[in-house]
Amino acid sequence: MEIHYDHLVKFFRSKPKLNEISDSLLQLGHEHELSNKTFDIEFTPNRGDCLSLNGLVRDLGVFFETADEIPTYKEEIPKFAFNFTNLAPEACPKISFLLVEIDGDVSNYKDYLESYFSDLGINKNNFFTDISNYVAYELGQPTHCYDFDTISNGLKLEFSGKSYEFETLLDQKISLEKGDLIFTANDIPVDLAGVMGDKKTSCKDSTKKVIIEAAFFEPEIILGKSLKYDLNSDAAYKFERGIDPNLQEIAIRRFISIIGDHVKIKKLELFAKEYRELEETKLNFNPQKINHILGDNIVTEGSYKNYLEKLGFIAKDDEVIVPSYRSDIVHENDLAEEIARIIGYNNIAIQPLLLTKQNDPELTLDQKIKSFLINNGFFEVINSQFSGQNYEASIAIDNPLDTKKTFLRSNLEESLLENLVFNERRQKDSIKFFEISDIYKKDSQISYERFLGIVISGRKGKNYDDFTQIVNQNFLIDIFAQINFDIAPFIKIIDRNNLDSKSKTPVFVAEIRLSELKRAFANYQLENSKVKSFVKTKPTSNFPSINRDFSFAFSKAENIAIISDVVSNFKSPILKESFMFDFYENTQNGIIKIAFRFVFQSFKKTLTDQEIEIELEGLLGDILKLEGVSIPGYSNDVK
Amino acid sequence: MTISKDFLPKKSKSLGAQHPISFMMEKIISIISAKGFEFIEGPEIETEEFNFDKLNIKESHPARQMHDTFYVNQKSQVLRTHTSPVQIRAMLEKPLPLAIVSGGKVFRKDDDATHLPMFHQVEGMCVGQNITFAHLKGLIFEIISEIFGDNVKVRFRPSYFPFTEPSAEVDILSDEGKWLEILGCGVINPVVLDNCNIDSSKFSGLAFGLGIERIAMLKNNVNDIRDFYKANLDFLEQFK
Repeated sequence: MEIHYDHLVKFFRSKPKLNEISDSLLQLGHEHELSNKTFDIEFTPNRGDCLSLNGLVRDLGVFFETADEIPTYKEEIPKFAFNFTNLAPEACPKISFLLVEIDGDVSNYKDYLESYFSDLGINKNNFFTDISNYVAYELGQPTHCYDFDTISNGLKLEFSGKSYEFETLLDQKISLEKGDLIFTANDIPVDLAGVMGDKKTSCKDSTKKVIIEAAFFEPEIILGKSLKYDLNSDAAYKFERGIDPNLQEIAIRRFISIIGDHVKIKKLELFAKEYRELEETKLNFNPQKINHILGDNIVTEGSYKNYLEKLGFIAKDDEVIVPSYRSDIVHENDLAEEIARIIGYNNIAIQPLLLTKQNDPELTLDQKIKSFLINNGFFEVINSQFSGQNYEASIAIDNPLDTKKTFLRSNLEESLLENLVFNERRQKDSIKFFEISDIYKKDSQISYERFLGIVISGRKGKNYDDFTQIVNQNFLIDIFAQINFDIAPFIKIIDRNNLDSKSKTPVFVAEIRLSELKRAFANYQLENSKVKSFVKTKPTSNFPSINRDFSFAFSKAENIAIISDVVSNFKSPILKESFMFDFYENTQNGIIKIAFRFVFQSFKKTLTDQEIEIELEGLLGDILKLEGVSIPGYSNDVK
Repeated sequence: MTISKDFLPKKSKSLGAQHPISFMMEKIISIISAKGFEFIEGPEIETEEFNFDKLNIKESHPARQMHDTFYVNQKSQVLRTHTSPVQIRAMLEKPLPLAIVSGGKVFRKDDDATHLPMFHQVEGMCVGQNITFAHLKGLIFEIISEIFGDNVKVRFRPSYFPFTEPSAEVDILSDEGKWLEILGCGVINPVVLDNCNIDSSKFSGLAFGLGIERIAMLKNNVNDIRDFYKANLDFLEQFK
């Protein structure tokens, strides 16, 4: 909710500064942003009482002395013999209708009304609707204005018995459903109660005679209605969070006061009815309990009483009477929070929590499997549980977010193959992924089991032994042989034709219930037990990487280390990585060849051959300067 | 001539890497476990009773609207929106006093650069006699300093969770001078204890929950939450 500093500060005698109010809001738990003297406050859903200028002033009043009350109309108002039938008194226990007829036109708004629109950048509508919006801002009571002539026969409040087409005052056409709480006139809906009125009965610039409705609706009746019909309704937002059930008459009298500030009132009549008495909340006055909840000698009897009274509670004898606007206060823990807010959470002492510490817990099976696979070169992935595939035992999402992913996944294989394809498209030629996750299915009932999924394809590794080898079943079989587990029955060869990738290397997946791995890992000990620190990642590029491979020939073995040093010291903004991937020694002629791969990638663009050649020129020049080193098949002129 | 192995660069074992979210979750669970909290797990598909009712999240709470929650099984069950149902199971099944920590996947209908429909939480809870808000503060300070270092500045703000009262959100001060929210916590609402057949006049408790992605984003310098779930080797290789 947006509240302007100038509107707020005039209610406080000490005229607190912006930052003082901001700090106090934070202490009270009202998270906010501040822009051009406007507080955009995110009130927690339990604090419907703060959704107005007056409500916020009341809450801040524990820190700043408040000035004069908001002016209201004080005279007695004649009774309005309005033809109103309430068929839903449980949903609407209190309601008022004010009949107002004005004499003359309104040319300019008073400063307080004008500044509401100008300071908050709100568009004006018509005189009565503008006041209605202002009263909601100032007091938190939503009101609705009907053009008198359109509902002069009276209104009925009822739960709709059928569906209706309805056009809101903001021109939205919706289909009201059976069971919605609606006001009807002549059996036609004119207002979705607590949310929005219809177009036909709403006020216009020319309206001189209105009926202003101010009601209390139970929050659960209104909840979800604006969302359901996609209506942006401030009234619904307030009713959903709970307004003060005793606010209607004050709001009506404030409404009259504002009308009177602008134009002569010709006629004024009030219909007010309470269908059900709303009970006061009373709690025990027990300062010791508050100290017991907060864990410190925070309050004395006197200070506790003082704090409560500052917040509008009445503390007398052994009772605390909760003000009607605080529907969120229902037990002593709520009162403890009120006290903690005033004192400041950061000012409550810290005490150590002393629990009986257990011995170091054993490694879980998940942890053992992860450690084992990571030590064998695998990367762990985590994939979404949502899938587009529907199998016999798949569980459907009743209200999916993505219409292409309307089921919970029934296996890990499909996600892992997506991971494979994603990386192959990014020029990755060595894939070793695993995932551990629960998989849910529905037969006669919903059940779940935890699985390990593995996918492999491409080169075995990057070093000069592994680079030219392609992974196969035996690669997995050999790894799992380390823990005496025969993975062969679980390995599946994937048909490349079903994958959207240009890579040709064979793909293998395995999917195993963790319960089947339990025995194999029973005595497994962590291989790499060094404590890992948190990694600060660097951004990844979305542009393709380009490889350049070079073979260096020489006869002196020492050149291996020298060339490796030159390569590792080579710095380039577009060089992503380099590694020695091949080694060959011809014992007949004494020639040694080592091959390096240089991987280039830019964060800004797809690199051109020319840009890569320029980067390589310096590096290759340095290497070719070494005595007896050449690059077979490459122009050695740079030497 | 034979090349001595000494001339070739050392062929180190090719290691993979743990996913940063699973690493962060294990790390935080181990920090909390070391304080005496027992690790337990719960299902990702829950009843509304365990996910909402017993946690004092009433029908009228916005979180129960279809907008936030994924429903399954003809709307009779939900994908858990938080790990808190595990607390309920623990309170119903385990003897008092108890201290448990849990973690795992949770689901909400959200999808943008800072929210995903599936994310991870770690949650701790302790119930016993005379457990107070001051104990909660002490515990949270310890956990945060173990994750973010002893010098990190921490502040508590009042907040609202139906299952705790008083409730707080906890922020840390970033190197850039911005307060960043990292966890929610509170004294367990007596209504929740009563819902789990625990006499709230004799026992009290504390509970806290951390969003793993949020902390991993801060610790790993990741700006887009979606980076965690692309399985991009360029990203994952940085965690070797």
